[in-house]
Amino acid sequence: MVDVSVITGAIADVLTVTNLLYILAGVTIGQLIGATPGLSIVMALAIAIPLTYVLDTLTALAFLISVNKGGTVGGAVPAILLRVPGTPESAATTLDGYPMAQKGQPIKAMKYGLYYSVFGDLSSDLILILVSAPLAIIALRMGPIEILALMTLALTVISALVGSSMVKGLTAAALGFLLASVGSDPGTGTPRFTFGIIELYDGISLTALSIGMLAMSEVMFSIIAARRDAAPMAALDIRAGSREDRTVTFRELMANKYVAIRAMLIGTAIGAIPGLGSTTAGFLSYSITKQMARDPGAFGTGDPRGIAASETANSAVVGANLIPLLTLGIPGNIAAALIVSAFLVHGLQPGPLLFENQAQLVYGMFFAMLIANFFNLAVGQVGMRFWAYIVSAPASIIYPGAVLFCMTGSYAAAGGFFGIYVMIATALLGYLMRSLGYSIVAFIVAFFLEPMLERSFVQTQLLIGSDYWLLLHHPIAIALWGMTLVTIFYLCFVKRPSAEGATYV
Amino acid sequence: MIRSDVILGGAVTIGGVALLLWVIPNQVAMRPGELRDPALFPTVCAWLLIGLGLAHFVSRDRAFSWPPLRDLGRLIIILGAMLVAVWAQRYVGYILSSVAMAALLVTMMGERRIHWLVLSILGLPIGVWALFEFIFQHQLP
Repeated sequence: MVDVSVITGAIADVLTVTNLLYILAGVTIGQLIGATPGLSIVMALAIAIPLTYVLDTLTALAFLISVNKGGTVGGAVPAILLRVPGTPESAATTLDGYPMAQKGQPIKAMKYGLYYSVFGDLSSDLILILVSAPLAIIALRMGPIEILALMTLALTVISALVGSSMVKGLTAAALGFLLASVGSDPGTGTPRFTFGIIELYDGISLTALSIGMLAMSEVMFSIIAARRDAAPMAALDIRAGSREDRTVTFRELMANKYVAIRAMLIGTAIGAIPGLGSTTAGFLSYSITKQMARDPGAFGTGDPRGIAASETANSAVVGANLIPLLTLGIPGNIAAALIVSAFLVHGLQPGPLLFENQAQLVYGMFFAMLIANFFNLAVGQVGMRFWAYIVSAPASIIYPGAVLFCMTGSYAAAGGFFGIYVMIATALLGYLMRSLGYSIVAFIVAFFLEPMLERSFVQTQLLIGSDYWLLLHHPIAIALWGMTLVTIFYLCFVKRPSAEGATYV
Repeated sequence: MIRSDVILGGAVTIGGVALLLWVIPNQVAMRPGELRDPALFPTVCAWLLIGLGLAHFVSRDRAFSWPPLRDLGRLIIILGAMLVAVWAQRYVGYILSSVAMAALLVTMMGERRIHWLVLSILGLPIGVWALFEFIFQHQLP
């Protein structure tokens, strides 16, 4: 049972002017970047991480989570006005959002998106708050063998569900392990793969690597794809429509309450499974809603149920993807993996022990998440018209700006020029991996999990020695390895679900 | 024509073998008296790569296309511009090197409108520099 003083302390920690300003700034930056076609939330998070080094832990976490939340809302703006999702998460929103905007109701469509998005996010946060502490207690009872088995399962699921093939996903994970083992061995201090370079003794900076692989490689793709003769994207005029066409009444929102609740449950469930993400949740919720509707033909013509299904589900993933991170120490997706680096920078290891050792921080983060939802609503309400102009910003200013931020962020994060070189090298690796169909998600998650996995692996080896029959005394681990084999078999021979999105394979 | 899955599978397998036979023995040394082998986990990874490379070899997965040569050319220009900019930062400082890099990138993207050119080439580097120097209090070269 959580001590009341911890909760009151956490509330007091969050309710400082600095924290509230950073939450507001995070939400605003997230919405701005989400609304800008070509920039993604992950890119925003990767670039924002170095900026949080000077902040205290709670402020840094609140800021990054707010960027993540804001980005999910902002991504709907270009999806509705341009039929180009600002972020992969909003891809399903284009299906009904754009037709509604075409019918002269762009503001109404954006408001539907905003309200359902905030509902999904807020509900999912509440579920996270309710379930994470009990799950963490269960997780604390697991030994190294069970942890090893659990991480094997999680990585197999992630490798299998994202990217173009399971073999490539697992290969990417193996590469992630290998790159993470660069530097001094945590147990013995022996240098590994340092090639005589002093800077490599501390290992490869997760932040510089994230900026390179997630942000810079995507920017390089976009710059390479930019064509001189490409016509600028023209957004729909947001001044169109009557007053009625620009407002959403409470009754109109409640008309889709069952759609929104179902979408929230789908998004939360998908978010809690490592590897799946907002894009999958949005499309799955949309297709289920359409299949269950009495008039499926209305979908795709500007039906608010389509926006409710997509936006509620994709936003519900944001809170839920912290469930595996906080309870098991396994990031559910890339955004969660990036938030992990904020923990690591401040000397904290995400996982079930956080509830024991840093309960006030965890609950402070929860309250910051709840506050961020209301700020998201307010900023979205005020900023909607402004974001509508942002969507038409030319690529020639967006991408060079992103390159500058990536380089400067790496310099600041990794303590000098070596950070930029790591960023450039990993950007090239990321570009090649994307081009050749290797999953960057699997790579990054494996890179992050390597120290924990290696520790469990070595501990398991010490515990059982060469007597593998001892594993029979660990039925949970055997069950988890069994599930791993079933996952491999099932996903190799049954049609694979759609990936995390076209952007992050 | 060699199948792409054969090339990728082969490359991963060869990479795993190279790790096992050359990189790990030369780059991960076990010190006398150590209870655990620091090369154990990298060795497992190398075997994993060999196994997965072979699996890819036979999987007939060709769900990608090789990037066109023109794209690779542009990639080299971008990487080159960044590397030169990093090198130049030590001598001419952040703003000048960033202005030159931004100018190259904007030109590459085909921007011809004066106001966007000015904003991208001058406004962005100065803006990012000011953000890090004054707001985040982080010294740039």
